Amino acid sequence: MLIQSTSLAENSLLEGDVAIAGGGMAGIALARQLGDAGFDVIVLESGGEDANAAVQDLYTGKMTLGAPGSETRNLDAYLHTSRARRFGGSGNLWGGKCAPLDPIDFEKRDWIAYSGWPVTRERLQSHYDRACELLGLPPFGMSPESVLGRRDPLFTDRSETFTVRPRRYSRATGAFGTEYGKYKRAAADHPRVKVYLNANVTRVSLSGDGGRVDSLEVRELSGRTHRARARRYILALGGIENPRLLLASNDVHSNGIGNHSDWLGRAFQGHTTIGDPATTNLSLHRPAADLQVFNNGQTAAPHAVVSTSDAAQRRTHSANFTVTLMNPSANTPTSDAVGIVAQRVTRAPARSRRSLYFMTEHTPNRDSRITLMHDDRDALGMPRVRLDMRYSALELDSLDRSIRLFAAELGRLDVGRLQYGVRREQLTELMSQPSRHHMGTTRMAVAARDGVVDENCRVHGVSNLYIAGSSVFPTSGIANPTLTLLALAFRLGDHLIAERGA
Amino acid sequence: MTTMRIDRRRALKLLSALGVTLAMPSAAGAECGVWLSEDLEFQALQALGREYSAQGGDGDTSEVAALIADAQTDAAAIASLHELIRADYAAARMVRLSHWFVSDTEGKIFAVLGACTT
Repeated sequence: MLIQSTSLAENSLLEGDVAIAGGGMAGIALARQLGDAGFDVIVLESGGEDANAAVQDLYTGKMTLGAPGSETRNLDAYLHTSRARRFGGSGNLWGGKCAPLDPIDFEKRDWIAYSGWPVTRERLQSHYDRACELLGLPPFGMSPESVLGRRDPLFTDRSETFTVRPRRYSRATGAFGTEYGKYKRAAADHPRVKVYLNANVTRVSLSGDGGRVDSLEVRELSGRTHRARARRYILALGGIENPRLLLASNDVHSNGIGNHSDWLGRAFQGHTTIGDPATTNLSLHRPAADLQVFNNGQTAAPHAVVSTSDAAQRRTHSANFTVTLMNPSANTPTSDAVGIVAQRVTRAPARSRRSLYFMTEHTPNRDSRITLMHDDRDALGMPRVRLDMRYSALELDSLDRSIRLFAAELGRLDVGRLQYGVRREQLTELMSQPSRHHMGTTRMAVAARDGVVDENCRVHGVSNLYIAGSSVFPTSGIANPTLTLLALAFRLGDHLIAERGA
Repeated sequence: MTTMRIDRRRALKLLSALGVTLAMPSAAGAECGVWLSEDLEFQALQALGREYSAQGGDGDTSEVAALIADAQTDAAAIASLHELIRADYAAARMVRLSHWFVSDTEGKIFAVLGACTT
């Protein structure tokens, strides 16, 4: 049921077994799962059914993007253009691309500080399968071949250094027609789910000892307040608002809730693409027809990106790295003296040209972080956020190493030649349209000293507070985060259901 | 750098140094004939060759020049160049020319072909 909070009497008490702050993709998925399991669920959504400028303005803040050797850039607009504050959340904007994280993304890697998840890809696989089902996709198997139905057409399985990774597009997003409307209605129409619209959670109120959530403060833009009470609470507000709310709820714990280890808001990770079509190209000794699996058609049919293999990442102590081929375009440069000479020498029967872009894993960095601007508050009285997204020398060195490795492997195996003309001082300019991926700010760790939530997404030290969404990712890999955050939401739902039965 | 036809090459270099733009002639010369073709922009080849020379390369292009010359009549010479190139990539012996990663041997090929006359 959809309920306008404005229709409630002032100071209403909203009650359920579970209260979920945030009606985005994770919140909706959990509401349905828990409702199906017999929980009475209340969802507290800041926005209405449609976009509203005054509501969206609650996201306004300050942001910078920095990397060693490159000018720090102002990206304030990113904070309100990269997400949507209304029912369905940023799923209303999502492009639909789905991919699971790679097995190595979950591992403790000695060359990447703060890496390692408390769960493995194998343990998450069944949850990934359920996330795929929810999104109307076939499952992602563990091997690329099982998804793509063919071997790697670029290196033809002769490389131990590079492999392909599949991606698919879901139609269950606001970017495509009506499917996302059905996704949202499935929660709104659930008999055990109440979705309160225009209901902003502005404070998490703890018990006196700080060990339990007592209630949530709910506020309308008009200033009217309500209170939500439940046995369990889940924050599903996104990778920026989850830490914002926890940092702002500082009346019991002065550093904010879950910030015992000073990780709250830190290790913000995003995804950026690196490339310039004028100087980032491939000349391949492959006929164009063989490369169609790399074409991104935005259909449910899988397409592939090239990636450093798990083994090569271990061997070279590199972060994850992908190469995405752009679809063939009339704008792709055709002058190709390098490719023609290479083709003559290798006697390759065909030659084709593609532009491309690279992505390198953004690794956990304590200086890449969200803080609150207590002297700049939004219409609800909440301190606005400041996001300082930072890359480190580790990622940039790893990027250079991976690109060089890729170029060498293309040549060694007679696959083609690589052109890459981006200078390090250009990077933040090229990265200035990061993907709408916000990860890492309430990171998952077994020990309280290493993170904010435990392996079940429960906030360390608070017995009935959980977090859903990509803010719990300890590391970000390169895969688009929605599929993983939904898999983790299902896993959290299973945990809550099992806990009730225990 | 060792040359194939020193007089022609010297003349070409002089013209190039003077900023004279050379169009690819209509008929390829004997020493480079199998390499040059209509789809290969000679000026681009020259630019790559100059860039390689300016970077220093590893200095000696004699082996590559001889293989290029032999390749006019001997397919094994192409295979030998191919092996040199693959060995370069396996050892990550690469240079950057016009932002392209190419093997050191390929850089030498551009230097030699860029100096071809016809």
